[in-house]
This record gives sequence, C-alpha cells and structure tokens, in this order.
Amino acid sequence: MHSGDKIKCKWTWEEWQAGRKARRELSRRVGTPICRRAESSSDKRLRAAFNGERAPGLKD
Amino acid sequence: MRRYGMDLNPIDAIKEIEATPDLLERALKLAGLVSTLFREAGWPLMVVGGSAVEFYTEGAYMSGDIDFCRRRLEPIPLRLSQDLMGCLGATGGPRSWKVGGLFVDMLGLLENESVSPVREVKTPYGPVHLIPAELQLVERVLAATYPVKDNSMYDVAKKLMVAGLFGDASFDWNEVCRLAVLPSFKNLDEVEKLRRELESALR
Repeated sequence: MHSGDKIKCKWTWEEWQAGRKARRELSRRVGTPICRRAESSSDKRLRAAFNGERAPGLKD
Repeated sequence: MRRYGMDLNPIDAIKEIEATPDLLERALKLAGLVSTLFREAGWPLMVVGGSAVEFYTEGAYMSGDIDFCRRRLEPIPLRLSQDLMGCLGATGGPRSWKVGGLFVDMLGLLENESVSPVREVKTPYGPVHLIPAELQLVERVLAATYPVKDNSMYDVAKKLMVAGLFGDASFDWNEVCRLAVLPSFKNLDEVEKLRRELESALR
C-alpha cells in the first residue's frame, strides 16, 4: 500500500509482461482461479462468437 | 498512423494481434491500437470494465470484449468511429464492433470520481489508459456487497484488493477511503472489512 506519490502508474510493455507471473500467483491466493462471470448482457454475442464460451479459447 | 516514429499499417497490426495466443495480451494490444487511432483523431479513450480488472489482477476475469469510455465531453461522431474502426477491418458498429478476434465496445462518457492518476501501459501499438485501481476496487466492492452479497463478484474484489495491497498494481489507500465515503458508494465499512480479511488470510 502506498501514498499517492509513490504508486506505480506507468508500465512499459516489458515491465507489464515481466510482472504477469507474480500477479497471477498473487491472484490465485484468493478466490477462485478463474473468476470470469458466468453470464452478462453480452452473453448472446460472446457465446455465438466463441463456440459457446464467453471468451476465445486462448491461453489464459 | 505512426508507431514510435515508424509508420504503422493497421491491417498488419490487426493480423499480428489476431495471432497473439494470450487473451489479455491480445486485448491490451488491440486496446493500444484502438486508443492510438482515436487519440490521433482527437478522442482520447480509457479502458474500463473487465479488461481493466484483468490488467490489475490477472484473475482470468475478462471475457471476449474490451470496454472503452471517451474522455472528452462531446460525443464521438458515429461516422468518425465507423471510419476509424473500418481502418482495422472491424465489422458492426456504430458503438460495438468485432475486430481482431474480440469485441470492442464504446460505452460513452467516462465517469471517474477518482483523483488518482490514470494508469498507463505502453503496448506495441501505443499507450492504453486504464481506470484507476482505487475506483475499480470501490466499485467492485459495492457490486459485490450491495444490495446483497454476490460471492463471485466478491472474488473479483478480493483479487483487486490483494493486487493493491501486495502487488505491483498498488493503490493509494487514502484515495480508496475518500472514494468509499462518497454518496456514490457509501461502502467504507465493507472496503475495510475486506482489507482486514485479506491481510489476516495472507499474513
């Protein structure tokens, strides 16, 4: 936790990529591993576009 | 369109984005490209919603769409939006398109009660601006706890909280508290309770 003048506000692409594993591991320590909503107002178009799923079947 | 001093062909960019196998990486690149197009046309945008949550948490939250809000008061002329998205080979419109294997939604004027700095990620196709983490957290706690508790939404709030408390997507706690007491939210007790729960669980 930080005061307003110390928070990180900008990431280069490389910094963002380098931090992904740590963010993922931290995230998995709380709640369900995948917290995507089961449904939303966009369901119809998402499921039609992504073979019945709400997101493309990519590595996520 | 220029990319770090080089000309960028939007169609080539879209092909590269479509070939990106990771969902969040693909979404951020596409958000960078769309943001660059609209910014260069005079309409700066901000990413809100699930893709912004995903950036902060890596919690596998986002679905197959990216939500943008405009940062200028005036509406974006729909014909201009169609022109810009048409450059990318997008289909649909005038406020929602399919492009790069994802959906892009233009939700309207940004509502940002936070005074925290906007976060920025410099993607290969230009910077993406994200709704401040402090506002995301307070909004998600509200949705997760009021009027009734929603456990799946509470999971999302937990992930945002730990990212801010222990991760590199840190937030300004004073700003979180300032937002939480605003009439829009009135959820400081719930925000502080969630923080205590997680600090107790993770330490």
